[in-house]
Amino acid sequence: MNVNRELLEEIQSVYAAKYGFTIWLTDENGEIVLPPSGNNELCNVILNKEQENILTKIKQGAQKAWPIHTPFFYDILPGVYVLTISIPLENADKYNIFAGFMIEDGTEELIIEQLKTAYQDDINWEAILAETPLITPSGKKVWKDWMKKVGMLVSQLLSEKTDSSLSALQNELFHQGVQERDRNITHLLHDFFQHKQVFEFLGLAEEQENSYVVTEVIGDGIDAFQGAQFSPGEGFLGRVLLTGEFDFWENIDKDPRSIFFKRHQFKPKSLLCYPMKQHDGSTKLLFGGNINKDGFSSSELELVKTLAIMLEAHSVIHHLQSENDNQLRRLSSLIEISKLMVAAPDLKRIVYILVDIGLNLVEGTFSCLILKDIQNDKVKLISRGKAPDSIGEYAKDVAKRFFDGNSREPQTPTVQVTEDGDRVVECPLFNRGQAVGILCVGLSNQSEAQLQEHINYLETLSIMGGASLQLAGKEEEQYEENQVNMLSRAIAQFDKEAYAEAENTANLAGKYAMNLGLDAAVIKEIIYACQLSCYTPEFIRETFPEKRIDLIVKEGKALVEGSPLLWEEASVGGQVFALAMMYSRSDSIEAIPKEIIGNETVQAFISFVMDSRVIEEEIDLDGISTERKIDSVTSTIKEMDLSPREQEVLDLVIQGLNNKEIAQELYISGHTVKNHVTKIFQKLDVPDRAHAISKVYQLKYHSS
Amino acid sequence: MVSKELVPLQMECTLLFQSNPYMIETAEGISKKLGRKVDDILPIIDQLENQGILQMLGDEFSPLYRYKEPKIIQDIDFSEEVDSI
Repeated sequence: MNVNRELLEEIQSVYAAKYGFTIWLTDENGEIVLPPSGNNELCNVILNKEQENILTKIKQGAQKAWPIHTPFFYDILPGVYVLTISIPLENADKYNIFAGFMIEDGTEELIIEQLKTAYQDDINWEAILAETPLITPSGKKVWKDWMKKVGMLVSQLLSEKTDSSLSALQNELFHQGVQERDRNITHLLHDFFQHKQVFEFLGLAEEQENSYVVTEVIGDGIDAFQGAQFSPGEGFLGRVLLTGEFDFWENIDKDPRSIFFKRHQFKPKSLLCYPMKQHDGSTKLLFGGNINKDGFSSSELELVKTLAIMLEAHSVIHHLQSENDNQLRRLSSLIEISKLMVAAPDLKRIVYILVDIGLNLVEGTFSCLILKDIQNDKVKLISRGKAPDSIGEYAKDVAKRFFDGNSREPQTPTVQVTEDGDRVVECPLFNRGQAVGILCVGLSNQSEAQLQEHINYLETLSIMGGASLQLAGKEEEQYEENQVNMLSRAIAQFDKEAYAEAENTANLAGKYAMNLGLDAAVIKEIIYACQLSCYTPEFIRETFPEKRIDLIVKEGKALVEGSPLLWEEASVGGQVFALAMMYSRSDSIEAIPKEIIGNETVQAFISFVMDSRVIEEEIDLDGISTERKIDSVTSTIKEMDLSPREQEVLDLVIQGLNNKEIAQELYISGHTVKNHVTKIFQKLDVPDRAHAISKVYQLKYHSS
Repeated sequence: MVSKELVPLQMECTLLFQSNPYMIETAEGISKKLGRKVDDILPIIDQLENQGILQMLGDEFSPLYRYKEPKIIQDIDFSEEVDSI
């Protein structure tokens, strides 16, 4: 500003000297910016005498808002003139230059008379007036031209001053755009329009249902333009949509393309338009211009660009902030859901949550959960929403892709496109590294960014779902185990022997099943079946409807009883159950019917039993040194190939108890005791009790 | 389409019905239970009904809503096709 001020003073003094004027500069309110300077005696004397009066008079004149921006003569006193010009700046400030005084040719005497009465001083007015420039027609034109040029020069110098104010304005705009989240784009536009009256009108156009509509207008004479519709390529505004670049047009009132505006009683003379790219890929048009002015200055063009960029930035910031808020909200909802699933791991509940929340989270069209049945190659489908009719087929397809052990399907979410062109996100649910289910959610038209975001949410939900299902499964298993134990212990209350036999069978069956390398869940079911073998399959089915225990018992019992059901047709569970039952009843491989010996499972069972016997015997041999020290027949009995129950019975036989007494001692029936005793005689290869006792003692002495 | 801000409320509403599968409630009742404005709840109920999560009972003038259990298809065998591939 200091440099500019010096230049202004230079202009002032040079022109004052050249034309014999006193020159000064005021702002639009008449306040002095550059004080009067020059050698115009008339002016200096009068200003000296009553500067205040003169300036007030000029001020009043200025406040009438001289509309003309060309130089004109203003009479300070009758016949005494000052030449003035109003300089409007782009930032809406106004300045006035005054140069004076001059008098009209031939009016000197009248003026002198007037001055003398006004000031009653002994000033030599005649001499002063003789020095004062005279207004002549030719002089008038020269002065006016000169004044115009000075006006331009001053305007240039003062405008440069506003550069910093332009930056300040830009800063203010950006500050508003960033800080004021609650104000929308329309508010910001109104603020801008009201505070900086650079343009006579401003407006916004947005895309609505495949066409563009003017949604906001500010300014006089543009009201009717609100709601006007146009297509890309149509008129000035439509053209910007095509090129996607800022453009401006001047002197358009006669341009045929402006017919579009005229149709809406809107007659702009100059127009500019900036396409603002929105975060969602759409474009909003910011337009502005003037109804009275033909064109724009370069700083106006820059300013509107700044405004548009600020609005773009505002929109992005606003979008990001609300997006962030949304993410946070959804995240906290996800946390709530996880808490719920973990707090009460209930299979049904979890499945419903996955299906419903999956749909909620991504605003999908349908969702389904495909759960794998552990025992066989079947899947369960839980679906929700507008699922396609062929959902069953779809589920099969998904199951094939995810559950087929050989497939190399990446175990991460995938996006499939259905025949209808809809996209479906498929997220596997894991349990110990294996896919146990797939959550599939169909999505309607969504952008890539949205899709990616939704995949992330669904993946998180699936991971939590998988973990919760695992938890729920464990609890259920625990519950089942307890139930089986209760039922099995209940048997002991009524029939200890049957309980012991069932436990033995379960033990053997479990080991054998494990030896066969069966699935852990299947092994459990076989063990449960053996433990519950005393109950009817119907009862077991009622108690464990989800399990196959009843089937194992049914099949196994049929096999034991030699029913026509073919051995090969029975499930592996039934076979293991039957073999274990047969063997532990007689404690001998011979109990297995000869017809089935050729069967693979049976063969495997026989060699398993033989192997385990060898192991048992080996253990016994190892233990001989310690056994020797125990001087009792019990140790000898333990060395014999007898079942634990038979050992107990033999022990009591040796103690001299009869069958009835043994039955009472062991809480079993007399009939069972008889069975055991007969088996013992068979195994020891003796005809009666006496021989049996004798054989035990013989063995004892031989071994010791 | 329900605006994104309302998705959490939608989940909340879903969970409410899921936890009380036998509950039959008016829009006002739901808004009271969730402590939200009825105007916020209405679009969500619409959306949930569209998605098949809620079922409308009663007539249009006094609609009641309840939870609709998802469709379940048991035992889809996929092994045969797997073998034939």
